[in-house]
Amino acid sequence: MRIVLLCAQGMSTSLLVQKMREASERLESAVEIEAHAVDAFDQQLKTADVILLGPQIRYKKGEFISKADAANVSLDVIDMAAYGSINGEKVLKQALDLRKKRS
Amino acid sequence: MNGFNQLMERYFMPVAGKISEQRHLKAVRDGIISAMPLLIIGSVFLIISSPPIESWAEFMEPYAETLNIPVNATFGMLGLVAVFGISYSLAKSYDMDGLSAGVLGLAAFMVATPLTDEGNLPLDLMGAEGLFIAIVLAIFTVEVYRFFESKHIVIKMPSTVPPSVWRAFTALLPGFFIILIVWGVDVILDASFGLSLHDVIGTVLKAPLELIGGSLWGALIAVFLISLLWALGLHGESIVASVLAPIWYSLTEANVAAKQAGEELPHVVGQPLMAIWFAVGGTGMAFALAILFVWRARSKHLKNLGKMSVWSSFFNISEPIMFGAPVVLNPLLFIPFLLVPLVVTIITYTSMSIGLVGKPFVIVPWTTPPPFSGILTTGDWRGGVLMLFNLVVSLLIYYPFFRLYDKKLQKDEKAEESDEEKKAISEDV
Repeated sequence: MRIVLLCAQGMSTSLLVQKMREASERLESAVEIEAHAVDAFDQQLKTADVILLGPQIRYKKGEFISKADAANVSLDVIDMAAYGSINGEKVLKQALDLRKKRS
Repeated sequence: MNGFNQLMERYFMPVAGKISEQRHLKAVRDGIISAMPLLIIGSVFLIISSPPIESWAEFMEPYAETLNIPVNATFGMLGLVAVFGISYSLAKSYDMDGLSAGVLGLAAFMVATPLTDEGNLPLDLMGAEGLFIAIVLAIFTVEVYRFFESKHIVIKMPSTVPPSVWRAFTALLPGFFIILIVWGVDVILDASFGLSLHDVIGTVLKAPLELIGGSLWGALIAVFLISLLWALGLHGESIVASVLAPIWYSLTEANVAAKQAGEELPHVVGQPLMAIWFAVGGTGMAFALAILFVWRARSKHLKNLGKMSVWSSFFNISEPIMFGAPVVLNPLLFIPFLLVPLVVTIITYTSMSIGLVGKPFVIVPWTTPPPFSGILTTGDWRGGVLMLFNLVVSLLIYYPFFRLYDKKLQKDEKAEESDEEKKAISEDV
């Protein structure tokens, strides 16, 4: 499973990616996690299972959601509090739950 | 306060989102950003040729002309790179062939550019001087191209011809039309008024925009909007810059040209000021907050957050602070967060315009930490001092608000702890 985080430049989300990888090792769930700039959305849509948006670009959700639905990719905005506290485990769970809902 | 937040979330956010998503603005921003590596590389050579240390600067003077070659080839090509980049991005956003559009845009730009008396390419019009005409021509080119494509006015090829071949042919008819129009307008302008398209765009678009964008008021409004958007948890820079970035870059390039010519720098406001100076540690001078959290916080939440985020904030990444404290939608931290950048803008603008500190002309990556970014962008050690001074002022403004918020959190934490204790006791029983 591939989780992609997007923010304006892929900088701040890369901090979170680190924590999420640690959490995924603890939970022993096999996931790939990456951070990218939001401009890479179309490209990431092809390979991602879950796409999470940084809350600072949550205004993009409206535009992205239909594309994501069409590509059978789960998409949501990262929980603000979890994002701020760089809570990798919580965001990872958010991603996993999101995927579960779809399948 | 909640009512206010809901109001903003409901009406302001969609507007902000729409602006940053507007196709042409987005293409302009992306096109200019594609020149970013060039601008940074050019800046490195610029620092070497005009270093901040005087004795070194004297030593470098005989080599200035040679060092200007890479500066001209990078920084000096901003307009040229932008016209290609913007045409490419805009065409891509329409799902058209970006490469053809980029090439056509480039040709339109060259047609509109008058040669020098010796018949050479005018270097000064290739840089930021030509940035605004680059924007206009790129949009014109792609829109015409798109019109032709949508009306199917293109040369049709049999389906056995490889795509790379017919794609080039589809650009033929619109290409002819674009070149003809730009050339025609240019010839008419020259014959009847002795003007070039560059002159016209410069007077109609560039001069007034720079006048507004380069003033203290312009800077204050931009800074305020960026902070306000971030206070709502939206990426303020990327939204505001989608409109104002061309102005900031062209102001900075004018400073670069002056520096190369050894003249007084004309502008205070520009890309370095907006990207670096008013956002030390992230928007709202967030580094000051990070320091307060580490240094002064008594609540566990802020103390932990400070420890976790102070280093990323040092490199100007402030999201953990913005969403973690949180500053976003937090009535207690909201006010200083809006106030601090305005005060910093006024201090910086004033010190630079009265000559206390050198004006910025160097573009550095936005992750360059303070006070190095201040020294590098201005080529002046006093730039570093001013940046630290700004930081101290920010600390002082934030302090009372931080204190209040910290106390509130501490109280909440205590209440929670005693709740848990009570629970533990009752469970024991």
